Amino acid sequence: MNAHSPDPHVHERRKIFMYHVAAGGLLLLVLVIYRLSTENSVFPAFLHYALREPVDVFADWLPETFRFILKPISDAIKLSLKRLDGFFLGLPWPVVVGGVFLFTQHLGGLRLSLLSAGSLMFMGVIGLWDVSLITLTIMTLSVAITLVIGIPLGIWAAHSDRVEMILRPVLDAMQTMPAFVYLLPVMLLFGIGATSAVMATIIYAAPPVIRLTNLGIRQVSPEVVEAAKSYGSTSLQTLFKVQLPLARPSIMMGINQTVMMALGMVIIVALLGASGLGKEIWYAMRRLNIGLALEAGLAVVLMAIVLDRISYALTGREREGKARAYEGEPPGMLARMKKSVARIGAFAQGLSRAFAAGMAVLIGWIARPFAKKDVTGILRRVFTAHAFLLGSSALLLALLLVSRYLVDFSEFPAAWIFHFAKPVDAAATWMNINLAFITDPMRKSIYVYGLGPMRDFLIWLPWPVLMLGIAYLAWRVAGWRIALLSLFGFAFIGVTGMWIPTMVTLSQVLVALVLSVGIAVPIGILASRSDGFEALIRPILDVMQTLPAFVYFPVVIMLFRIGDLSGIIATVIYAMPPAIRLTNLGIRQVSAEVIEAARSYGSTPRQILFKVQLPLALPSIMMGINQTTMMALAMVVFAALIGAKGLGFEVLMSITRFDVGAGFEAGMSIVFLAVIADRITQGWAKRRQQALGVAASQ
Amino acid sequence: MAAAEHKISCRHVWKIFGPHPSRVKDNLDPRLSRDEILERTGHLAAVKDVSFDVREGEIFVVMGLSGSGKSTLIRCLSRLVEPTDGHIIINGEDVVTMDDKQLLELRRHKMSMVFQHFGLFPHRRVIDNIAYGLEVQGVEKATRMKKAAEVLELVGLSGWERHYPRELSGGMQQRVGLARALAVDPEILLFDEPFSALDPLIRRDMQDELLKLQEMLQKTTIFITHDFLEALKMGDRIAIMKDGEFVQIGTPEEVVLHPIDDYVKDFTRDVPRHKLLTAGTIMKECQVVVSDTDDVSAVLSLMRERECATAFVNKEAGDFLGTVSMEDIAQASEQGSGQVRALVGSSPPVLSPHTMLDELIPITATSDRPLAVVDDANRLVGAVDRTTVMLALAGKG
Ligand SMILES: Nc1ncnc2c1ncn2[C@@H]1O[C@H](COP(=O)(O)OP(=O)(O)OP(=O)(O)O)[C@@H](O)[C@H]1O
Ligand SMILES: [Mg+2]
Repeated sequence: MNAHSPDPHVHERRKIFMYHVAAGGLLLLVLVIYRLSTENSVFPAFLHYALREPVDVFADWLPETFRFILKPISDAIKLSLKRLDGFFLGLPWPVVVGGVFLFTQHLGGLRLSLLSAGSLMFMGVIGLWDVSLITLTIMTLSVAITLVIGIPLGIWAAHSDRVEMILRPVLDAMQTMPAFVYLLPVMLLFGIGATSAVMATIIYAAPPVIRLTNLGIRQVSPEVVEAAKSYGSTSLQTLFKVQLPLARPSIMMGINQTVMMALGMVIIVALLGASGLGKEIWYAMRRLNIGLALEAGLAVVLMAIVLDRISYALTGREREGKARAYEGEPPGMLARMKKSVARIGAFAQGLSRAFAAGMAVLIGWIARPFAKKDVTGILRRVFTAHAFLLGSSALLLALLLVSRYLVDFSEFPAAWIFHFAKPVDAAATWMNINLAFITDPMRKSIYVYGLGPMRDFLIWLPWPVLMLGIAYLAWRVAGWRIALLSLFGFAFIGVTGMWIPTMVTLSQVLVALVLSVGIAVPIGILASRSDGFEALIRPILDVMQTLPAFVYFPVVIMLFRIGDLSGIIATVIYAMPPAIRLTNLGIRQVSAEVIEAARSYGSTPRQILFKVQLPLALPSIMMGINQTTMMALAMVVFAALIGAKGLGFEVLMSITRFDVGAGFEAGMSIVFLAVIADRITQGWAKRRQQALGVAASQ
Repeated sequence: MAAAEHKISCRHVWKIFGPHPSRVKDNLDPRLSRDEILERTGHLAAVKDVSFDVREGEIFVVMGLSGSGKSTLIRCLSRLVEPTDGHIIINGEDVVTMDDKQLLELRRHKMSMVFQHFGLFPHRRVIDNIAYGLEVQGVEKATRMKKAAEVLELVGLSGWERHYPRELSGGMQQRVGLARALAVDPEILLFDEPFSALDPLIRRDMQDELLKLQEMLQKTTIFITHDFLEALKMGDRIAIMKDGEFVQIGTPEEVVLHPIDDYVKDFTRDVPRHKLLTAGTIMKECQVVVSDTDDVSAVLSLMRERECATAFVNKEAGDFLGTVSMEDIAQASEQGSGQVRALVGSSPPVLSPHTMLDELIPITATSDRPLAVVDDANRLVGAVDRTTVMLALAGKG
């Protein structure tokens, strides 16, 4: 390069550096002036405006005005829930267990059916039969309504670019929103109760199925669609005969995600007064009844795993990836067991075939006087084709009759119920005392060196410095729009008087983020360097990612008691998996050729890691950090359930007090934090990605 | 007019891609090239004022480079792509003005299409793929399965009914595509580069097989290809397409022998001419044609006048008798007058117009006289000599 003409890159760098210096200097100046002039660094009170008042007025007006449509919806949902509850709870338990067993057996084979029926039995054994069924009905109804609305919407979006253009940003925004955001508006419209629970679940769980239906249909090869059209298919024929069947795997994936998200709402909807497992957990935790909370938590975990497996089984042969992680050929003992089980299966099959044939003959014989032709042949064909269905229905019917007239099976037998709440509580006490030598220093050090100073610092930091600092950061990494957005967001927070709770929340999120990234990235690096380790943690991560956030609470409280810290630790556990996964993936994605090149120049493995792999994996790691941040923010309200202060606490209080205005202020503050954090971390990841010309793994 | 005698007639068909196609079309100077239109209006004229006719039972090939608009054109015929302007007359009816119902009827019963990447339905078994057209028509299951099995047999794939398309090789998949098209018994077959995705040997087999089928079925066919040799082999007539326009329409021989411009000539350069050209296409007009009763001296003076060394002799009834050389005539006329008939040797070598150029090479090489080309009715139609053959081989014919 010509020595006289300055390298444009160097020039650019120098310019950016000057920007940073200028901005830093300016902020420092503001800081000093502010500190000298006033004691108070919090957003000044004279700028406060009680936004909650007009919101409350609006909240009174809205439901009254739209009562004429809200009421029928509400009534319909309430009625269906009542009917469903009545039906399921009225069924004798062996019929439910048997039905689930046969259904899942048909879907995914013996392993799935044993898991499903076993889990159901477990829920009975720990005395949560009714509660679990209630949760299941709310979920079933919510998911059913979601699908009935979501799939047609997805189809519509796939057929109209305009609809997609409108839907996409809405869905994008919805997916960054923490779940509780929907509580307030829903509560406002439908009040406290099961209807609101169903509505909130529907709204929260709808995006994936809409998105993936749209995507699935759009991914069908255009030539295939054209072929269908060229043979004179109507649009409906094309849709049902070609597009939907080919989009099936994608739609099923969407349904799976929708179901899992609906399950994630279980505890949140308890806040709206819905009964079920969520309420059980919440009440138990409030009463510090850790054993009970753990029992209900385990029921939720089992439900999550079972529902995940069932919906994957529904996707049929095309499924891959996630589901495969659990499977694999069973070794010796298991193989033998499998074989004997297969024999039983074959026997059952033969039995139901014989039964079907018998039925056919019987009905044929009865029908002989009435029908002109002999119907036995036809019946036999139909019955043997559906032998499984026929056999199962007959079996269930028999069970039902037995329970009605012979033995009373309507209640799960009390004698079988085994609470392990007591021993768990005892264990909790024991751990609290005897593990204190580990947990206490942990708790203290996080508090003394992390949370405490961070919170004090944020509160000490004058508000203009913080606002401008974040706006500058947003401007550098994500452009001036986002900078404006963050200015506006923090102004909102200040004006509504949410400054201090926001700083408290921010400190929790930052500490949780630092901890999760600090733990997750090394684990991810380790996983990328050892196939064995990866194989070990992959199934754990898979399960963790299907679990709702709150299931970690009982365990965490058991070790760390109620308080800010438990909130942070639960957040760290919940938010780690994506960062681990993406770090591992990012490093493994670095092309072998590049690594070979590095090796050929004599780099040590350490040098390769730090000079080649990590820099190239950075965009992926940053995507992981983005997801971790969003998950940490989503946890804010949950963490309040186990004693964390801050915005989450404000939201929680407002919900329990039905205080819509206050809830709106606190809730919107979290939304602003979430959106700003999302845009900044994503902008940052994208910039790295562009600079390196590599793609981040999703 | 044309519509009555032709199965398909396209008149001034246009397809313009862009936000305001019809407005652009209305204000367009039709002489502009595609690039100029793109530059001035930001719209892409994928098909530009194309007119052609296809006769019943004919294979009409459209040949052009990638992006020349072939796929767009063929899709305009069934309105899978909505033409911007023009008329497409099929069986005397204008497709462009059809309503949705008529269009469905047209697609269901009149024409079927075979696609470059097969366009098979991956979630349906082979037999259900083939029966698809009948299924959407609402044909009863037993009937359509029977029909599907028949056409499957026709394309030589019996036994593969229960397989899924992905389990078949490329060539077999396209047979399924062909069977699917034949199953609805259409009047018109549309092929969009059906063999481009196949490797050369399989492609040749499929071409031969399609030609054989065509001999049997006699369907009106439009066949798209970017392979000039394939066009020559398959086509009764060929249209050469460039930048959305037809630059030349003609029989394979016409196109090869008389390329209209350098663009077309470029394709003909690689053509193995001896496999394509026949005595009929390269023959010259006979300069001296006489009757067997003519007098030798008259013939001699005619030959001298025309500087021709060979005279072709017809019988009085008009059919060909044989040739006489200048030497024989000169000798005979020295000995006195007489009819030429006496000079003509018995059973002279003659050529059929269908004789391929590569068969002509050895025959003409051993003969220094021009050879007569005689049609099926034994009438003289022209002559071929060594020079004609050499010139044709050299591409100067
Ligand atoms: N839906 C569309 N929108 C815009 N432009 C299109 C569209 N379809 C085709 N084109 C353009 O029209 C031109 C002709 O395309 P077409 O597919 O008809 O070419 P082709 O001759 O079939 O080429 P190939 O041999 O590659 O199949 C191309 O420039 C293409 O980019
Ligand atoms: Mg094409």
